[in-house]
Amino acid sequence: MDIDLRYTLDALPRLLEGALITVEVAVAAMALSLLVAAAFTLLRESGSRAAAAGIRTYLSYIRGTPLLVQILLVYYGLPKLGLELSPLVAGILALGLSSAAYTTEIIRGGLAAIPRGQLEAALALGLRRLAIWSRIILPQVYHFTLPPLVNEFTQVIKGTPLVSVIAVVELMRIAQQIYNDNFRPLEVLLGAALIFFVMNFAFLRVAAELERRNPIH
Amino acid sequence: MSFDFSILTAYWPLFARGLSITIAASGLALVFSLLFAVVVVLARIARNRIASYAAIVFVEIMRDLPFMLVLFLIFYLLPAIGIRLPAFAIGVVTLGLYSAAYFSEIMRGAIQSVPKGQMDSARALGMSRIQALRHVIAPQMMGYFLPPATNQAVTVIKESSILSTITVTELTMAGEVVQGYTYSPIEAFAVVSLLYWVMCTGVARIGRALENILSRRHGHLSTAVPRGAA
Repeated sequence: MDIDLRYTLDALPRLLEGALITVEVAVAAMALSLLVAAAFTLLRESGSRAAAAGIRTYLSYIRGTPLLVQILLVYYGLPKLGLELSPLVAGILALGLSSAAYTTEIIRGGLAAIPRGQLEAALALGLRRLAIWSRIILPQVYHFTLPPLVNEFTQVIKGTPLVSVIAVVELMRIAQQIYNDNFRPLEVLLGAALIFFVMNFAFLRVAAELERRNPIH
Repeated sequence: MSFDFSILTAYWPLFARGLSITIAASGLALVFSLLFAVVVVLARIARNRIASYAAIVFVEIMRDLPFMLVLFLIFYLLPAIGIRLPAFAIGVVTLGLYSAAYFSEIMRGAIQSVPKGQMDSARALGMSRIQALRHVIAPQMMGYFLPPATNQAVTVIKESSILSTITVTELTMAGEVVQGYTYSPIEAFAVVSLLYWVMCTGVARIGRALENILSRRHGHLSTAVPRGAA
């Protein structure tokens, strides 16, 4: 076996461009994930039985099926429903909608971690609902959920190579394009692996650091 | 849009074949993964510095890389070092290796969760080491091991779908083939999703049933052990 790391070095600039797209896709998907999860949480807190059952079914579907199948379903299925999407938008949509299921559970955990007594104490002190949410509940939810959310973000990043299957030109797809030209898959994929490793390593360290600094514990 | 069930009657052999390959791949990968995870854990907790660093590096690298990338790397690496294997075998081995990183961390957590004093107490009460392991240590470890291990087993089933990207004709590939023939992606992937969902939910149920059996036999599982017990 001969591995020539010059091919890795040559590929790095283009791979880094791909990594930028990977991060963009992941950030957009995570933003969507947070929005949908917030909506789910509000719906669930609203007390509607139908909404709760619908959300439960959705979470069960997402957790019981592979991300790749979800991506294929969105990419090939939505045009059938009259929604023509570019691969990029379909990829972000699929990653975000899938992640939303996990983010919903993270937010639920964050809310559940706040003792009921705090709400009662705040009400007893005569605080208004808005003040209770903005001053007491949300800051704590933020602290409780930030580390697992950063963790979820790294999960989304690790999910991004799957959207190369529907032709989104991100890090994985660019790696494939490069080695289809130079026939050096090992060297190019090593470069891609290095970039993924550094990205996730960094984000996981951020998560660990946030957890350590968490003033509430 | 109307749901066209005829693809099930027309293409069920394709789905059945894909399903059987998915079950075989996930099952084999799971067994291999658990065995390899034991090796990784033993290396990790060994006195030998090199073994323990190697285990840490392996786990850290695997957990920071996406499975698809590891799969492609090994898919191209093996022929380069003169090993020719069918895609199915490469997929099973890689999935097993990748998942072993997660299983080994779960095992390590379970081992460390049983306080050292438990063994001493059991010995002081006149149990042999084997008896202590069997009746005191192992049941408590299982309480910490089973719930996350069940999750990881489900993850293995779901990640086996990525073997389709190296041409393994498993269930996800069957869905893609059928949607290619029929232009009915929603129906094709609905069938595929349902089959995955049944497998994943089934494994999750089995895991929970095992937890129940264990906790009934031993009264309680470690999660119920009072904090002060250490």
